Amino acid sequence: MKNSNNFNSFQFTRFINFKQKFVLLSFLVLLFFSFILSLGIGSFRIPIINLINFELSDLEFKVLSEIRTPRVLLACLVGASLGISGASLQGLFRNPLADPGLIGVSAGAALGASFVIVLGTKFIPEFLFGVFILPISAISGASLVIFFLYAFTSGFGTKGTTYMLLIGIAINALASVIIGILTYLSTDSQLRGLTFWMMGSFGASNWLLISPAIILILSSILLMLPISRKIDVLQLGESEALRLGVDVQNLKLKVVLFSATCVGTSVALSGMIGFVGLVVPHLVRLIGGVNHSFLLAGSAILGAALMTFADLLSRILIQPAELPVGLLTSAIGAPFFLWLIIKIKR
Amino acid sequence: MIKFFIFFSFLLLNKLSFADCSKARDTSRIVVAGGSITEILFFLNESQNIVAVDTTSNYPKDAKNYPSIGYVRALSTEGVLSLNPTLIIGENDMGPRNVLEQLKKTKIELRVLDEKNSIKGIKEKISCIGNIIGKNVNFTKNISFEKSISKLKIISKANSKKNIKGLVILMMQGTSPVVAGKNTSGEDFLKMIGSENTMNSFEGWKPAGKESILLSNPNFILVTQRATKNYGSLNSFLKESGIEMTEAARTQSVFSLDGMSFLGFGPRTINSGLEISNKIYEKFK
Repeated sequence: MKNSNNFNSFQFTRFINFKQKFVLLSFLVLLFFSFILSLGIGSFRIPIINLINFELSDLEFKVLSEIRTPRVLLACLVGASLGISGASLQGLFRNPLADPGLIGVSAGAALGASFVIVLGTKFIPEFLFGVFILPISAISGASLVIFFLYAFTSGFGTKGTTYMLLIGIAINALASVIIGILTYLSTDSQLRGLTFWMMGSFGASNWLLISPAIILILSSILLMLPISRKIDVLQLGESEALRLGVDVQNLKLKVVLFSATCVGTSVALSGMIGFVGLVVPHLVRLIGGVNHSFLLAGSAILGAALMTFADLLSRILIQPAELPVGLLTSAIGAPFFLWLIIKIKR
Repeated sequence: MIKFFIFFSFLLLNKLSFADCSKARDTSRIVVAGGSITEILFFLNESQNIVAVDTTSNYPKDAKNYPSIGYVRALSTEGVLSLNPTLIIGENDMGPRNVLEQLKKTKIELRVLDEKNSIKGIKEKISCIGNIIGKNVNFTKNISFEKSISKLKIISKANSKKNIKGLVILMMQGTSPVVAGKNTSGEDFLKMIGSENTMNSFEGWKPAGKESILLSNPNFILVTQRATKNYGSLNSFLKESGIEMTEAARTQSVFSLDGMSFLGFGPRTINSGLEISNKIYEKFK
């Protein structure tokens, strides 16, 4: 068991080669640019010159600080969290088709959110209402799913990842049914709210909402990076990894818990945003390589950059109306995914 | 040539066809599909023959005591028939189409009403329903209602000269505010009270970015009570949705009201219209 220390290194950067470091750096540059671009562009025009000279009018400053900045930050966070969860889950399940939605966590979060949107005013006491009620309910839904997953797989262990995957799919189906029932029960305006929420949006973000998300998502990401080397070893198979001294059950627990936290928080604050968690890791793998130290970091950064950009498009494409960001990511992601499958098959 | 003629007369017929408002044969068991129709039957004190209503009929409170035939756009033929109705009155969005076809094949009378979201439209709907159930509606007798209408017309005309722009927010939960675009009941309500819709570049109810709302700079904003209820109060809604930065919020011209009361276009929409048009008349002199 002494060996295990080798894989538990906090200096995971050791395992990233020079080319990969360069790739990561260019991802960072990309993120920087899309961040600045997103802050600079919006339906409310804020001249860059004014921004540089600190000569913003009161309203311009308020729009920038209270509407745009939290929104762009949330897009970054959600992109990063979906990217890294996708990468780590694909690693854990050793399955290129794994997706943060696959273990049922996003469905659970969606269930929690739909509950509030449809039945909220009936069952939840009035004093609890406010900006937090939807995210809290979504997080509870996600936690419930994680709990079930944990219970059914006796601590994410013993029975192998395929078993866990199947359980996840079953829970997914179950949650979808309940969401369907809630959809059926909803009134016209609730249905509208529900539909738009399901398509994903960063429109509701404000500082109050995103501060807890910053803490939850960033800490999960930081805790996930150091275990990336262990995920590498896991690629040899569970029994092999065990023999090499990796505590597989503990690893599973960590990956599922951290990525579920990431995904749950993301879905709670921005609805269902598809394909980012699936496609971004593949992109990163194609560009730089398959070792998870690089892959996890790269997926987080590229995910953040792409999501920021997608949100920018969603804000400005059909203004004053807004295109749901989940539509955009799926519209770009689905054809890419198709291409990927065909390419692998060849 | 004959074909052409037939085609043309069909076109004309289609254009000219409007709801059949003649007296129904038998009004002893009425099934209603549409909230405003239920409201009107109660308004006319003729609710005694209703046997069932759809799920959008939730005003007045007594309407909720009837058996439900489901959602107005997703009715089921057998469900409706099981109530053994003699007359079915429905809004023009009642459906689905195949259910309508099936209902038409039975001998039960089916009346689908026009939808015109305006003062005139509300009055016509009331008279039409009155005719169908064989009650001659004399508006001059209902003095308070007639008074409200003429008041609303006057104020709305006065408002329309002042170029006041409004915005209707349906709800906001986890997304950008969902607002009324072109061809929505929200826009119709704004027109009814003599103002314009700021969001007239897209159709239907859509989410609109907070920045776009700021930019469109409405003079006043209407929010459904449902939307504000999710945030506890109107004030916290304004604060957390970013609406508080708008001119409308600064001049305290954000009003929250029951969604169906102003978007349903039944008799009480006149009262909501009067209330809001009065308020904006006072605000924007």
